[in-house]
Amino acid sequence: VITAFRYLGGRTSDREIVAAHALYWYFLGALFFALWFVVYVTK
Amino acid sequence: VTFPRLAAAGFWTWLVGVVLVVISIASNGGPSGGNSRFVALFLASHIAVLIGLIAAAGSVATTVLTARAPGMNMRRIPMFAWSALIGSLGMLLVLPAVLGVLIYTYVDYQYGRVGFGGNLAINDWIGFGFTQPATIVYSVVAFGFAIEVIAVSSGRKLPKRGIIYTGIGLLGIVAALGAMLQEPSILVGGFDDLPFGLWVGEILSYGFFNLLPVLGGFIVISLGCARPTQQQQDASDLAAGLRPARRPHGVRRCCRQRRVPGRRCPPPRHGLRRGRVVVHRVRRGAQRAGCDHVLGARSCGVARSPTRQRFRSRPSVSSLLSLAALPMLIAGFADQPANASEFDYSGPQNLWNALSATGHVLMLLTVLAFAGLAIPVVPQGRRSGRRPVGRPHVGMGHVVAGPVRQLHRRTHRRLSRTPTRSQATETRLMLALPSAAPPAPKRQTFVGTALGCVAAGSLVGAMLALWMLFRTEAVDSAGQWVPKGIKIPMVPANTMLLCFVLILVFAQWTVYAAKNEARSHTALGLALVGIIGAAIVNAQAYIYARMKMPIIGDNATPFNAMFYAITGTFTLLIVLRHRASA
Repeated sequence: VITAFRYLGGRTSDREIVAAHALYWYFLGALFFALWFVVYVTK
Repeated sequence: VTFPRLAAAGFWTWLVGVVLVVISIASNGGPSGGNSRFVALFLASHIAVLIGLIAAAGSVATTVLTARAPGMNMRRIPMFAWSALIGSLGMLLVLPAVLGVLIYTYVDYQYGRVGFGGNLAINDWIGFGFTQPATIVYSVVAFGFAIEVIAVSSGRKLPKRGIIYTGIGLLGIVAALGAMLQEPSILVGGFDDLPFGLWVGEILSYGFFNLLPVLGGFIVISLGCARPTQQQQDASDLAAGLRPARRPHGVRRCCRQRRVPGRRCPPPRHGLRRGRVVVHRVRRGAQRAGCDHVLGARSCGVARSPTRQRFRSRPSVSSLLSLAALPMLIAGFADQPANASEFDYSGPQNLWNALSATGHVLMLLTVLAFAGLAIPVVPQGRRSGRRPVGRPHVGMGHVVAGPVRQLHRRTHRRLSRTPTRSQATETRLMLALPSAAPPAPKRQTFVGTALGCVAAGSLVGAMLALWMLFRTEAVDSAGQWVPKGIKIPMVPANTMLLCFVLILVFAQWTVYAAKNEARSHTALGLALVGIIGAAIVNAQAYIYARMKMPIIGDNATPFNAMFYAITGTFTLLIVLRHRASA
């Protein structure tokens, strides 16, 4: 949300924020895959 | 400091948490405490303390990695900065693991009290964060501080800086890896009953996670006290770091003569102008202190100014006090003081108790000494900015380039003669030195986010590890882990996984659009990511509503509390995404 606000607020040249935003989601995706397998699949 | 608001928030969170911890312990809370509310407060305030420390560690590590002075690469950073980086990285690995276990313990204690043993077993679960090898991680910064003080106070370069860097890294990283095992690595004894293979494994495990960091600390201290070269042998002094250092000879002589009315400084040597002589000698003294580059020479020169002489002795005192934790460090090898409430070590208990008590007393003296040293600084703060020879302050301490000193002296004379408006304007223009080129961006947000990802991984990983431990024990004892009557809805869980796949696609599309300066596509991608993220949170809430697991009462089980704790923590990570970069 903050990344979106910053980008829409005019910091369009600041690609680092978008890259950091993507990195965090990649990492959360990997973590959720582990959690999904351990907690939901193997139970 | 990068992310200053994050660092400030971390400090205040830590401070409030520490106050609440003290209040809860004083009110019969804490481990094995009798007051139920204050035991819960003890756990909750520890969560606040850990969150504050993690935030501060992330800020410190990002600062060292991305906000160094121009020209200062990683091979030239001071030992204190290197140790701060290693210590912060270690804490980013260790503290989230402690935090994950603490969240489990708090949820279980607050509700069911069926899985973690209540107040009597708090130390069994979170004790690993307060004993060896976790305490070694916390002491890394003290090692860097001590060796920095030894080098500056003794006025010489550190030999073999690369090996010292390696020693500090060995000290911190290996200890952090050992702490992440969530077990205090101690020798259990009774080797006669163990098979040879287990005996060797016990020794190797203990040696790797305890003795290897100690070896790193030994390398750091021994090289810090070693004689660097034959030329600097006279300047080497093993005890130099423990007493106030001398001011550079040239500066003192010049200042003494300037205090006498009517006398001026001696004529400069080597054809240099007078102002240059002082600068030259200060810089030479700074080079002896190990600062052979311009920035280091300036900073060390400022530290050597006569008006700050009284401050020079304080790091020397504090270097001695930084060893206050040493008895506690030794006692930690016997799991003290983490297991103080139920100390069942088979060795010499009185020795370890005495060491732990001595460590506590020394730590208290350290705090009092720092407070006593800090209080006089407040009324003397104005004096610390003055230049030693009574001249107006230029702005970078008194070690400035020769031409600037000459310029400033002439300017001071002009201003003292009540200059005209044009002269004053000219003076200001002359004093306005050209500003340095702005440093290249160093991707602070990206690096900070990566470190946050490391901390989040350690947090969720520790919680998953404990989940699997409980699951294995429950299956072995009762034959099942999920309680009867509880059914996990897999459709929303699989939907969440699918949503994550979509989010990764849209997040990468957002990066691609931003690189190609397609603003509308970037905004659309960010919006889609936000909407799908909200859908994930909604799916998690739907799972809670469908399962309707009791967390209090007779039907509460460890599975219930741990399920809510781990999924709730992960949902919080989604909701709080990128708050740190704000």
